Amino acid sequence: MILKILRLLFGYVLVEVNGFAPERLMNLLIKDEILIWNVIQTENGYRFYIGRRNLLCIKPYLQKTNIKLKILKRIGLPYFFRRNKKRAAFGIGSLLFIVAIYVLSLFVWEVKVIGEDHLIAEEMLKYIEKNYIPLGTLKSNVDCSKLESDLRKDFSEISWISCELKGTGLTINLEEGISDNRNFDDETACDIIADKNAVITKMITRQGTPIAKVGDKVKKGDILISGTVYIYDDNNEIMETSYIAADGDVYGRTSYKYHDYVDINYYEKDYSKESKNHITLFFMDYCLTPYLPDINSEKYDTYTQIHKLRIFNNFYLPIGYKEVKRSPYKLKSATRTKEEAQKILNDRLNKKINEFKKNGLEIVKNDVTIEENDSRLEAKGKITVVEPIAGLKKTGVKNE
Amino acid sequence: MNIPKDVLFDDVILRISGNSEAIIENYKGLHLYTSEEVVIACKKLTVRICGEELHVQYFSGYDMKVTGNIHTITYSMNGVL
Repeated sequence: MILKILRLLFGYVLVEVNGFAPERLMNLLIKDEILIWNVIQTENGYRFYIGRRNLLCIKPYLQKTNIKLKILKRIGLPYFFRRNKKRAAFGIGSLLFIVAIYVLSLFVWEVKVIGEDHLIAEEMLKYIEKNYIPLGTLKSNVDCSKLESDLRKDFSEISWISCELKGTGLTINLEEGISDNRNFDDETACDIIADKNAVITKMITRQGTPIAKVGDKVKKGDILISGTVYIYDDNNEIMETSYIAADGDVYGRTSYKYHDYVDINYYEKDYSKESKNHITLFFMDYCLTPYLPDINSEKYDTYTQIHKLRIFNNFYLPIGYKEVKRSPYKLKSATRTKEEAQKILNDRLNKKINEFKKNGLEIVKNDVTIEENDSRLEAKGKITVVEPIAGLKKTGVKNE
Repeated sequence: MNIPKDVLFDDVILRISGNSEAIIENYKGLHLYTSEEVVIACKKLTVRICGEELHVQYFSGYDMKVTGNIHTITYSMNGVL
C-alpha cells in the first residue's frame, strides 16, 4: 500500500519495448538495480512499469541494445500536474476554498436560543450577542460552562440551561421557571427581605428571627426574617450572636395598577396594493441588493426572512440571503362599536390575569372598571394579588 | 561455522509458495522470458521455470518474483543448456 502511494507520488510509466532480444535490456536493468514491475510479454516485445526517474537512466541501455521504447501511459502526481498546468487557477481556487472554509469554521456564526417562552428566548439571544458572544467570536474563546453560569446569574427566571457548541453554531437550551433568587450557598449569612411593597398574609419561618408578622405593611427592602440570631441568658441579656442564612416563605398582598384603552375611532392599515419581494445578499454586515423593485408608497411594512448558508446541519457560514417582502399600505380611518371595544379590553385584561395565574400569583381582588372617555374606552383599576415576596440579601457576615 | 551458503558461495535462493509463486534471490540475469518458460541465470546455475501463464511481477537488482501456474523447476550447471 505504502509502495503504491509512493509510486503515485513520484510518478511511473507503462512502457513497451521491442527489438532484438529485449532480455538483454532487462539484464542490464537488473545489473544496475533498476526496479521494473508487472512484466508482460506481448506480441512485439515486453510491457512493464518503470519509475519516472529510472526512465531517464535507461536511455543509454536502449541505445546500447538497439531496442525501441514506447511510453503507453503516464501515471502519478507529477504527470497529473503537468497535464493540468492550464487548470492551475482552478487548483488554487479549490485550495483557497478549503482554507476559507477552515478559517470560517473557527468562529461562531449562529446563536440559537431554544426555550418555552419565545420572548425570553428572543431577549436572551440579543443579550448574549451583545454582551458575551457577538457573531464572529473565535470558537476557542467560548467557554460553555462559564456562559451557562453567567446567564444563570443574569436571568433569574432560568431554571435549567445548557449551552452546546456544534459546528459553527451555539445552541442554548433553557427552561424558564419561577424567579428564584436563592442562589447563595447555605454558609453565607443572609436576611430575607421584601421584594415589593405588600401586606403580609402568610409567613413561615424555617430559620432566623422573624421581624415582620402577618398583617404588617412592608416596603420594598424591609427585612422580614433576619439572619441574625441572638441567644439570651437567664438575665435576658444577649449571650451570643450567630449569623445564619434566613429561610422561610413569606406571602404578601400586593396590588398592580392596570390601565388600558381602546379608541373608538382609529386608523387601519389598508394593504390593498400588491406587495413586492426582493432578495438581498449578505456577507457578515455587508448587504447587497441586486434589484430593488419600486413600490410607489412611503408607508410599508417589511418582513425579512434570513437564510444563512450552512453546510450539513450545524456548520453555519456568515454568508446568505434575505428574503424581503414589502407590503405598502394606506392609513384608513375606521370606527368600532362600543361592544367591540369592550370585548377587546376584556380580552386583554383576561390575558393579563391568566399571565398572573400562570406565574403562581393568586388573584384576590379585581377592581378594574371600564369607562367611556371622549372617544375612547378606558379600563382602569387595581388588581390585588397574593404572591411570594421573599427575596434574599447577603448580610456580609460569615458564619463562625 | 554455520555461515549460510548463499553468502559463502553466492548460491541462488528460491522461495516457492505452492505452485503459483516463486521468489528468486541472488540471480544474475534473464535468459528467456515467455508465458511458458522463464530461464534465469545465476552464478553457478541456470534455473528454468516451466508452466502456464507465467508472469514476472517485478525485477530488482536484488530479487525477482514469478507468478503463474508453475509445472517444473529445473536446475542445470552453467554451460550445459
